[in-house]
Amino acid sequence: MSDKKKILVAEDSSVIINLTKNILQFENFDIIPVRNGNDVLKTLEKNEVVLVLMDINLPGMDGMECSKLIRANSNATISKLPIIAITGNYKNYTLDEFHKAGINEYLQKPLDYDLLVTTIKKYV
Amino acid sequence: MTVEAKKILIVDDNALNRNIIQNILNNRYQLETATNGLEAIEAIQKDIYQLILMDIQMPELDGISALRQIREEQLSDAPIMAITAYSSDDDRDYFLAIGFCDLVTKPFRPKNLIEKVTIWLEGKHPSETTSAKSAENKASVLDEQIVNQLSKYGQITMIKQVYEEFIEETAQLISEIEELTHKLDLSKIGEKLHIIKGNAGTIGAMQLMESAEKFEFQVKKEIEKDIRQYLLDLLEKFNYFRSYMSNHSIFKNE
Repeated sequence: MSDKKKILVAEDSSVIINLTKNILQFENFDIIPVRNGNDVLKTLEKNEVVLVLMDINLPGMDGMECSKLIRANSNATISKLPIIAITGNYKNYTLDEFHKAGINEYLQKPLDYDLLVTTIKKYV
Repeated sequence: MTVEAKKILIVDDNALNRNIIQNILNNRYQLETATNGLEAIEAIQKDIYQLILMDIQMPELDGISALRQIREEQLSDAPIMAITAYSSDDDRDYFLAIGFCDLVTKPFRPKNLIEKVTIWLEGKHPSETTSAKSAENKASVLDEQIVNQLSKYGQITMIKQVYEEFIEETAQLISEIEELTHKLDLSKIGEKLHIIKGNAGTIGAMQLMESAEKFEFQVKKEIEKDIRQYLLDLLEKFNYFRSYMSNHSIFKNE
């Protein structure tokens, strides 16, 4: 087992998952990819992660729903996880809606990986 | 696309309005404020803005006079968007005719404001008025700055793999879109275009991103017309990107 900190990456595009994996590994994190919103919570219950990177447009449950469930979780380690949303805002959510869903920060696509790395480092 | 900061000047005499706009936009952009036309002109002389949001009725110097002075004295060529309580089509035509790029109406609706600001700052949803501008900043097949930025994080083989995967995934998505055009399932087409757009932008395939963006905009408006045309354009940009990459140094230096 590696002792690197783990980040859950909820994203359905392999391109983004692999690019994110490479970049975060370079920054000394491991990632746990999840491609369907329905699997996010299960994965969090089985793995210890330090942060969640969440695409808003996910198959299954969308990123907004997932974030709300994380915040409502009875386990404080899970409910307090920092959540960074990634979005092209296809569904036109407002900032207020993001905040209400419990999302700490949100980054727009196209992703700027320098910004992603700095944002993650604000939290872990 | 470069990562340079986008700066917006908000000009409104009403503090509440300024606050609302700041709250809506401050996660995305650098913001400065001015409380009337004169202050706006001072600010523009000191700093460069990519967009100006300008209230119409203000003390000292109103929005229309300020716009006129900015244009006459060529103080800035940033688009200037009117903030107004008026909203009939006639009013809209009037504001556009005197040189505002667009208008946002009070009370502000966040989605609407973000969308309009994004259109003008990121060059999305190109309309007739932006065509001159987008011709100047012609999108590149591959934004080398993004390649360089990504290269900091890994070996060339990693970069190579990223682009290979992107090409593979995009080919798959385009063939799915093609299927969907026969069924005219616009909402599914939109979702897939959205993935292509985001990924293309992330890895720097700017022409492809632009093509996907225009196509997405069209299907979001639920316009079936010209879908074939948009699909062909997307395919053309994709094929071009693919052949461009096969000759790129990332794929040659081994």
